[in-house]
This record gives sequence, C-alpha cells and structure tokens, in this order.
Amino acid sequence: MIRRRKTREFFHELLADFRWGQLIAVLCLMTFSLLFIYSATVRSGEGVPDEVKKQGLWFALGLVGYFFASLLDYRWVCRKAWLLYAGTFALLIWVLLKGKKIYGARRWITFESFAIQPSEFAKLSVLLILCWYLGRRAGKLRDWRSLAVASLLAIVPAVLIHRQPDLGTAISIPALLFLLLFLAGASARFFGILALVALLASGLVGWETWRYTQFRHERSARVVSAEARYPSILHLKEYQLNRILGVVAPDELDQLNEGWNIRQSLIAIGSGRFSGKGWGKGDVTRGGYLPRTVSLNDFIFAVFAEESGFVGGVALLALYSVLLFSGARVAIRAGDTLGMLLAGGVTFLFFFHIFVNIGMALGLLPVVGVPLPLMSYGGSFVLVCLTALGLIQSVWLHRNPY
Amino acid sequence: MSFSSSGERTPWRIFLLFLLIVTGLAVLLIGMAFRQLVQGEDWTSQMAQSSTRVMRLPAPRGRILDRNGVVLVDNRPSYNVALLLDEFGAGRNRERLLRRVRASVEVLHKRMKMPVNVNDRVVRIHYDRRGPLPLTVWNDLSPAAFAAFLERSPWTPGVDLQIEPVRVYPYGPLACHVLGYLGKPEGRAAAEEDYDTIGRRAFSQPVAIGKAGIEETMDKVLQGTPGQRVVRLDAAGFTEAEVSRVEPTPGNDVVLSLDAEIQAIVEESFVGYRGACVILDPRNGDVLALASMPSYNPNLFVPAIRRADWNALASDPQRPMLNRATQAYYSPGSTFKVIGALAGLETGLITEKTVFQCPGSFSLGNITFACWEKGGHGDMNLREALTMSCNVFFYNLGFRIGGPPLWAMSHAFGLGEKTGVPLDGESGGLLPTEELKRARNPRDRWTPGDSVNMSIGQGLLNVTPLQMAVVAAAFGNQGTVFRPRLVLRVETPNGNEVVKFPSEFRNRLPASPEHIQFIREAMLNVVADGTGKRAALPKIKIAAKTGSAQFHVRDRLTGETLQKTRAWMISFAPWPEPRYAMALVAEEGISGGTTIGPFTQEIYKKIFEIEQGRRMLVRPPSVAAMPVSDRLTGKEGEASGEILSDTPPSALPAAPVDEASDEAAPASFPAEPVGGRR
Repeated sequence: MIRRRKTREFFHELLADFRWGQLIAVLCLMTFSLLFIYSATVRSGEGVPDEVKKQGLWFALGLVGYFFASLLDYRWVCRKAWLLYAGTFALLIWVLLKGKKIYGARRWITFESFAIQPSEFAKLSVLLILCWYLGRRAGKLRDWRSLAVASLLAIVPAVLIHRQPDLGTAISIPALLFLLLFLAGASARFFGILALVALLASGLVGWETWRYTQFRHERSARVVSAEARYPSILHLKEYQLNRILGVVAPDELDQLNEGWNIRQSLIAIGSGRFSGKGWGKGDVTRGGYLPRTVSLNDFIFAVFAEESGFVGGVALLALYSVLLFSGARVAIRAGDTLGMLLAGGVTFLFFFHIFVNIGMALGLLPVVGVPLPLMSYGGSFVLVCLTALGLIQSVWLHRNPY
Repeated sequence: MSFSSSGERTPWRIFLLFLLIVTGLAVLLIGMAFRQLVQGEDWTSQMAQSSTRVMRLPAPRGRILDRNGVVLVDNRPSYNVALLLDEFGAGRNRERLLRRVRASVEVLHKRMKMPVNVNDRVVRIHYDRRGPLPLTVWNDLSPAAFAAFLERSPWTPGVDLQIEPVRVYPYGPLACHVLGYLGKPEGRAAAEEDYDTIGRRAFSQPVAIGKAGIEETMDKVLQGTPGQRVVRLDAAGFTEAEVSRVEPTPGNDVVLSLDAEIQAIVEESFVGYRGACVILDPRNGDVLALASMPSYNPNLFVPAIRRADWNALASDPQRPMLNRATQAYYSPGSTFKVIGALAGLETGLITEKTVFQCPGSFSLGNITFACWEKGGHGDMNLREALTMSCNVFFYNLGFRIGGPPLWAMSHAFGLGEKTGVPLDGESGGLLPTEELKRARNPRDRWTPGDSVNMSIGQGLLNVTPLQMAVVAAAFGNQGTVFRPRLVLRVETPNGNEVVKFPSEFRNRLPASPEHIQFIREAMLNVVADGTGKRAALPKIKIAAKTGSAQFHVRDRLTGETLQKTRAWMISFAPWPEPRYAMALVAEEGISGGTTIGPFTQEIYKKIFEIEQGRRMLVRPPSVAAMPVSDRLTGKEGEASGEILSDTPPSALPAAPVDEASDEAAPASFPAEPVGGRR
C-alpha cells in the first residue's frame, strides 16, 4: 500500500519533472527525419519506401529505450556498463572477422533484413564505461595510471573501429575521451601536452596533404605513372587525403569523381537558398545527383537544406540547441560527478556529430562518415542516440540521491 | 558510494563545453548563411546546369542520287526494341530492376530469336549513367522478329519499340566504292561516355559518320545540323520533362555524276574478275561509272557491321574494300603507247612516216628488250605500231626522244598526280622522272634503258584506272584534259540546288590537233584490225588501245614465281564525237585485247542499248536479306598470289611498285554499333 502510493508519487513527480522540451525536440527531429528520408528515397509512382518504414520502426524501438533509460537510475546503469562494454567489444571483433562488407567497409552485422553497426554501440559503451571509471576518480586525476587506463578503455575500441574502416566513428571516441577527461578534472598540464600533440599531428597531416598535392601534380603530368599510389607516411589512404583536399583545396579534385558528393551536397544546400524548394521538390537530391547511397544517411542535411532552405536549417539548429543546452544544463545541475560526466558526455557526443556532419555537408570539414543524430537513416545510431538522451533524462530525474 | 559529491564539481569546465557548443552552432549558422544566402545564386545556377541535360537530336542524313535522280543511298526505318529502365517499376532497387530486365529480355529473346547484346553490367552502367535514355537491346529487327514482337504486344511496361532512321543502299553493292559506308566515330566523340556542354555526363547518342567514299568526303553536307533537346530531370530524377527543343535540320542530298544504269552494266559485266572500270564523259569529265571488283554490300554496315562480317571483309585476300579504280595503281602497259606516240610526234624526232624494223627484240648495250611478237613485226610505221602494239617500234621511239618529252606529256595527261576526285585515299600513281630517281637514290641517273622501258608503259610507271580514263577522254575530246567530276550538285531535301560543281577544265594537251587526230585514228585501227578486234561492234565505231602489263607473282602454295598479266583497254566511243571514254583493267588476264576486248564490247553494246531507251536497272527485292557470302563479293574467287612486281619483259630490274597503296585500306576497325549495345 505504502509502496504503491510511493510509486504513484514517484510517477507524479516524474511527470512533473520530466524535461518535456527535450522530448518535444526529439519528436520534431524524428518527424523531420522521416519526411526527408522519404524525400531522399521515394520514387514516383511508389508507396512509402522501405527505408522510411524501417526508420520509423527504429524510432519506435528507440523511444522505448529512451523512456526505459529515463526511468533507470543512471548510477546503476554505469555500474553495469562493463557488461555492455564487453558485449560491444565482442561484437567489434566479430564484425571485423565476419561482418558484411558494404561499400568497402566491414561495419555491419546482418540479421535477416536488419543490420546493426557495432561501432555505433561502441560510442555509448565507451561513454558509459569512462563515466563509471572517471566518476570514481574525479578531482583525483593527478596520477598518470588513471589517465592511461581511461585512455586504453577508449583507444582500443577506437582502433578496432578504425580497422573496419570507419574514420568518423573512430575519431569521435578519442574526442569523447578528451572531453570526459577534461570534465573529470584532468590537469591543465595534461591538456597542454595534448594540445601540443594535436598541433603536431595536424602539422603532420598538413605536410602530408601538401606532399600529396605535389604528387597529384606529378601524376597528372605523368612524371610518375598514372597508376602510382601515393606512398603516405601516415598510412592515410588516398580517398582520405582527398577529403582533406576537398576542404582546403577543392579545385585540386576531379569534380566528376573524387569531389562529386561534396559538390552535389553544396549545390543542394546552396540552391535551397532562403526558403528552400519545398518538400519533395529537391531536384539535386531527388534527381540522383547526390548519390542515393549517401543522401539518406551522411548527407541527409543536404536533402533537408535543399528542400527547407536557410529557414529550415535555422529551425534544425534550434531543435538541436534545445537538446544541447538542455543537456548542458542537466550536466551543471547533476546530482554527482557521474551524472555530470554522463550528461556532459552525451551532450558532447551529440554536438560532435551535429558539428562534423553539418560542417562536412557545408564543405567546412573533410568528408568523414558521421551520421546526423536523429536525422540520418540507420537503426543502430538511432537506438544509441535515444538511449543516450534517455540517460540525460535519467540524470535529471535522479539528480537527488535517495 | 565512492562517487564524489557535487561540491567537488568544477562548473567552469562545463561552461567551457557550453561555450564550445555555442561557438560550434554559430559556425554552422554562419556556414549555412554563407552557402545559402551569400552563395545561393551561384549554386542555383550550378544546379540548373547539372539537372538539365542536353540531348542531341540526330539530323536525318541526306541521300545520294545519281545524275538521273535514281536514289543510290536512302534512309529507312530501323525498328529497335529498347528498354526504358525507369518504367520497369523497380523503384531504386537495382537488384529488382535487374531481375525484371533479365526476365523481359529472356522472354523477348525466346519470341524473337535474336541474339542478346546486353548483360547485367550493361544495364547497370546504363542505369547509373544514362538513366533517362532508352537502352536499345535489339537493333534493326528482322521482319520475322518484328512480327514476333508485334504478335505479343503490348509488352510489359518499359519495353518499347522505337523507330530510328538508318542507311539503306537499295542496290546493294552497286557503286559501293563510290558511295562508301557509315561507322561509329572514333576519338573523343566515340568515347563510351558522352559529355554535355559543361563537360558533365550527358545523354547524347553518337551519330554515325561516313567512313569511306562519298559518305565520308561529303559527310558534312550529308549530316545536316543536329537538333538539341534540353531535358530537365524532374524531382523523381528519372522521368524527363522537356525544357526546350531545336529541331534538327536534315542533311542535304548529294547528286552524283554517276549513271546508275551504266554503273550496273559495268558491274554486271565484270563479275568474277578483279579489276576496275571507269567511264567518263569526255565532253566534260563527268564520271559516269566507277567500278571496282570485287565489291561488297554496304548494307552490311547498317546499322553496324558485325565483327565477323568485318573480319571477313578485311581479311579477304581479294580485298573487296579496296577501290581499285582510284586507290590501287597498276603498270599501264601498252596503253601508255598513245602518250609515248604523241610525245614522239611533238618532238618532231618521230613522224607519221618514221619506220623502225621489228626483229622481235631490241638491244641496248648488253640488255635485250623483247617484243610480245617473238617473231617480230617487220617494218612498222607509227600507225601500224600502235595498231599491232609493237614494242620494238616504241623502244626505238623512247631511245630516240629520251625521258623529258615522255615526262612532260605524261604530266600533261595528269599522270603521277591525284585527279582530285572526291573519294578517300586516292592514289596519284607514280610518274618516274630523273628527279624522282635521284630522290630515291642520289647516284641514280635516268638511263636510255629507262626511256625505252617507259615508252611501253613499264618500269616504275604506275597509274590508276581513273587516270587512264582521263587519258582516254582527252583523246576522245581531241585534246582537253578535264578533272573528273563526280559530284554534280548538292540539293536540299526539297530539291533546291545549294551548290553546283561546274565541270573543271585542267589543261589542253600541248600537242597539235593533227597529231592528236592521228593517234585517235590509230586507236580506231586498233579495234578495226589490230589488237583490239574483240571490242568491235557492228554499227558503232570504237577507238581503243590495249595493254598487257606483265607482272610476277609468287604462288603461295608452291613458291613458284608465275608470270601474270594486267589486261588493259582504254577506249572511247562513238567515233568521231565520243560520249564515253572508258578505262578497264583486269588484274589477271591473258592480254588486253583477248581479255578486256569482249568486256569493252559488251559494255558499249549495253550502253548504246540503254541510250535507245531500254532500262536495265532493276532494284533488287531484298538486298539486306542476301546470304553473307554473296553479299561480300559478287562471286567466289580463288585466292590471289602475292604480288612481287610488275617486272618488264626484259632483264631490267624494277622496283616492286605494283602494290595497292596501303593507305587505301581502312585504317582501323570502324564500327561498333551506333549508340552502344555494348
């Protein structure tokens, strides 16, 4: 009786306390997602494309996960994080050995007509395990051993993901690691060294890119054979260097081939102008200029911006701002360090994906395969995103320790 | 619980995250504003360029007609079965599309029994690159396949019957070497991908262009101006909407000087031989007939020649594709004597009364030149020597007058130069002079032996049948050398004249009319009671000169060297005001008189019959349906031997020159089918 009343009170409190803004933003984004995946995939004279139905199904599943995660105490979740981590780790190894190769990368494990992408789950697992590990050591991160363990926990899955290869996801994990180390109070000296390393690394990549440009000139002038491959010192593939060139020197690229996707993305976005062409009227994306293999996932923003214009883009950023600022607010108001790390981590993960994806579509960043949260087609990432948002909700709802 | 309490938190670090987010979103907002508001116009114009496609609309090609309006080359509809990939209802599912295409192709193949030229790869490439264009699977249906197709129509959506104009040569091989054929363009235009105005993938089907004959030389005239159809791909990306359309301007018709009936007479008479025949109108240089045998059927090239057919044509030892009338060159043999005689008369060193004795051979130093009459002709004057084609008389003539008069007279007739007839790969023959010999070898000189040899048309001298027809015509019209005229005019499809090609005077012969007349009369004697008796017709007087140039051939099987004869006859008729001048050569014959005489006779007989109003030309009922072996050449013939040289009948060595010039052969494989079917 008492327990029942307690439960009822809990739910009352919960409904009152729930961050509805976040949920509303999520539902709006989902609507956008379905509308524009439809726009990117539908063909005249046909019904609703399979992709839209599947995405809808994932959203439904994801919402279940979202509410479930909201109700669970995030502390308990983080204590059990190692289970998820171990499972993801096994899947990552499995996918490298037996995964289905699509477009030259082994990223998927397929069941019937569904495919899951373990690398997406790895983002969540690494986030949780790092929160669990760092949450206990917050403010005491002076010893190098803790830093090393935390780094290992993140870097090993990142390397596995890089092997698939999946550069975008592989980069997101170290970024997350540094953010969490920062939030957990790692020393300024550590970040000083880190900044130095980053500077060095970007210098190296810049030098490599410059050398690659010289090499391309020689190759097109037939000083070296036309079949010659660039001998990269950093072991970067030519297509990866091409993506850097696509941002720093787009004219170096062959517009019909290497620079095609990004060029079509820019045409789509740019020609959307202020108010867009209207839903279903994006000539570039629906005409197939932006290849159908990328328009519904990595380049969904191009589809969106072409048809809804600058106005739509601002609305989209506003929706994302709701999620991000609400997440940051939860982090500030969290009941403990763990909650702060978790909410901050999830918020940063969202920010990273939004920034890299849209930045890439706008031609501000190199093309890396990073999906746009709650917009891109893809079940695994939808599940991860919604569960992660649920965890923010959980941090909020459970901010007062009992 | 060992989690740190909230008091130990470091909020400034979260505020830094906050700042990061604000900055990031601001960057994205500015980026969006830059791309969409600042650059929006540029990108919109770029989009307009990339979502419209220019499709070339091929212009109907002009026809080729003979002088009487007989259509020698026409267009006919070709029925093609094409697939419209976007109408297969497979959506963007490529596998489903492939399955459906495969099924349709299979069923159609069973019904029509025509070989399939597409596979999954072709369909896939087409889908990706040329989506809105129909993918032609079967070209030019046979009547049976056409019937089979119609029987079961309508077919599933996406299967479409399309009509495309293609070339037809209604008389099959008739004048094939003059008319030529079409093929797929080479080089950039032939690249598998097409490009539109901004260098992007575009949808324009390549247009066949002329590859030989008038089809090639008059290609620009025949082709017309292609139209343009600008197509916008609608939001579905596949079905098309037309933005603008410029209709093509059809090509103009070319009217030839050929007389199809005379051409037909010549080709009929000459079936089974290797050789050439050219008939000119001596009054203006019009080419009335220009035949090379064996011939081939240019309909084989419609819509595109099959590889097997091409290989058969290209490797045929009889070389049916070679235009022997203009591209091959031969020793003129004794037909040259008319030029030698005229040169002799003009020098004054030889007169009508000059007599040389013919003992059957002529000695120069330690070299002996033989006469074809081993026993000798006895005493001969010029008229008798021409009539009997006595070599020894002309050896003496050549020895007496030397090289320069021979060169000059030959030059006046146009030997050693291209006539300028608008046909591809014309050869100019070879007129040997001292200069030319020195150019070949600085220590070489023109010897009296060379003059002796040249006077009977042997040695390095080589001519094309067309050049010899010009020689015959110049005697026929009493001394005017015309450039052969093959194209009379260009007309619009409605028959309005666009360009007229006047008859082209080249030069007068540098000879007195009496001397020319003397040789004309001697040529009359050749037919009346000389070596050309077999050409004689009862009512019409023909003037002619025979020639039999020996050359050596190594038999491929035995390795023996055989002596063979190029049999020549140049002639004009009717005497004294000829309307026809003819040069005929057979690559292998007994002699000019024996082999070519009867041909000349038959051809003239029939020509004068049609002048009386009898029509000869019958349109073959179904040229295209003829079996391949018949289509290639008129008749099966034995493989020819390897030609070593046209060695003169003396011991004087001559360079191996009697080879058809290699440039005459088509340089490369011409035609994969137009528009792909790859």
